[in-house]
Amino acid sequence: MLNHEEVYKNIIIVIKDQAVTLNGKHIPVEYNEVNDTWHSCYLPYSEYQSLLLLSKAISRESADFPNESEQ
Amino acid sequence: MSIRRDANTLTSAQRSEFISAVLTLKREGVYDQFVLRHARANMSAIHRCPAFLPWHRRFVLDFERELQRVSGNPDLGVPYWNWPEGDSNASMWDDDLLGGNGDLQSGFVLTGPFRQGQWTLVNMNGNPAGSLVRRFGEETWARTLPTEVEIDDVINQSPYDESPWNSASAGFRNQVEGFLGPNLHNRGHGWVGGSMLPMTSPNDPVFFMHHAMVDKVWYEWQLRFSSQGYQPIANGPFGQNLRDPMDSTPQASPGNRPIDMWDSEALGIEYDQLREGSTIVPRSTQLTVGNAITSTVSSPGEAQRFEFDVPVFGPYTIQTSGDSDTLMTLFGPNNPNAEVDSDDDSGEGFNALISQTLSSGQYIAEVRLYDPSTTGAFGIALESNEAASVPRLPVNGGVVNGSITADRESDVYRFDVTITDIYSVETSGQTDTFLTLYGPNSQTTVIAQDDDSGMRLNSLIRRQLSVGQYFVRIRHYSPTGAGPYTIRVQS
Repeated sequence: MLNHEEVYKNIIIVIKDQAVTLNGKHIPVEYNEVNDTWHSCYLPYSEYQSLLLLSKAISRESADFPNESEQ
Repeated sequence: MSIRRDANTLTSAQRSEFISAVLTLKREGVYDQFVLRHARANMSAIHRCPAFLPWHRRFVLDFERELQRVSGNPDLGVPYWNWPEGDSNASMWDDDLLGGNGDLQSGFVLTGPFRQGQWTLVNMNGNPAGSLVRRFGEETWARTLPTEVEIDDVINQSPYDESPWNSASAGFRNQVEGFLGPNLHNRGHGWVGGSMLPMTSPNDPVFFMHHAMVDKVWYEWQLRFSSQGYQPIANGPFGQNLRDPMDSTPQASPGNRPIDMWDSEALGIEYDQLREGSTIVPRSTQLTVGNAITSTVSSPGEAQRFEFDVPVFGPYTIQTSGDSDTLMTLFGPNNPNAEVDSDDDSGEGFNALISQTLSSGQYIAEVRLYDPSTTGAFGIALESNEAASVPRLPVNGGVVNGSITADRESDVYRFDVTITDIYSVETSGQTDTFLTLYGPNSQTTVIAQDDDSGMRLNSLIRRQLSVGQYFVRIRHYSPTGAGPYTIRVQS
């Protein structure tokens, strides 16, 4: 996808040349050619249609990126 | 022994015992170590791969042992989440067990023993990371839980796994994991949602119940395909083969390799009930000393198991025969998961041969074909190889003197053939001898017998012998006869 930057749930998502950072932290991602989906070790049970959807899901669900709701 | 029960059927006392043990582990810091062990593992070495099932079997087993330690109940098992009966209305989500769904707005769990303020998650660094979140059925890919029909469909898949050994693989493992087929395991994580989605998912105690159910399905598959073995044996990525150490798994008993996790019963895991049609059948054929058995690998990937008893400490040889390229692993004593030895081609041709001094006890020899895509027949034989105490005959090295001194007595000798040639075994003297030649590498496979082909009443056997160890038994022709003799071996 095109390069993208946005703040989602207080977390800065940066996608550049298919590399993802959340709050400046590099997030390993992998492309599944068979399903045309993206996945990451941060969410080992699911796959996503785009890097942005994957990045938002990690921001929302990972205990390593606590979002604004309980801060 | 761990007795795992359907979480919905637990009595009030059983619920209390389980929750109390979990909370104790949390207070001790042990619970969070389990979260970190999962979170810090290489995700691609424990998910989307063949070791997914054995890795999590060991993980749940270790957790269970900790529960048993703090509860003082050696039979305490992790209750399993019976998915078809486990939706949000199920009693396992009541306040005296897991608590329920998260708050509709925040997702935070506000009921039960793991509610906000009572239960704090840890992140990958081991730091506090807020409260437990659940969002039942909100993920678009996991709106519902697996049904009985879907579980049956997955249990009917075989083999265990296939190349390329990842999320694109055909076979049972990938279907139960959920990247192919109806999706059992991944869907359970997705259905709970929230804290069950990231790699820190053991933060939610339902993780262990979920994986107890995954393990139950695997066990039921093992009963359904009792002759199927783990794949890959040797040609997969490191960490995924049968004897590779698995990532982030302690080496301590019962072992950290897939092979150590294969036999659920031997690990002491017991389920309160099994699926209809799951029958525990004898999975091994009895083998006795001196009696060869013929067996067939009739479908690719099958492993045949042979059980035998060793009554007294001593040397034994177990070997396959025939044209198939066999691979043999010996387990025991009295532990079907403890590997003693394994062998590929030490026997004749492509046959396997294991010679070991064994303690008394029960052993299992597991035989597969080296190429898991093939089928074929093979023979297997067990021999008590008391060679260490059998006197050696020198080849071309002179005579050995002996005597038969009692009724029905016989003497046994051994000699080694290092070059294929014609050999003669011959007695001399006044005694009417009778010779039997056994081998190669066997004290029970008869090659030839002779009474009087030698001088006068002596015995003589001449045969072309291939490389190996041979045994000669000499007795008097008459069961009640006695007398001295000499014996020699010449090429």
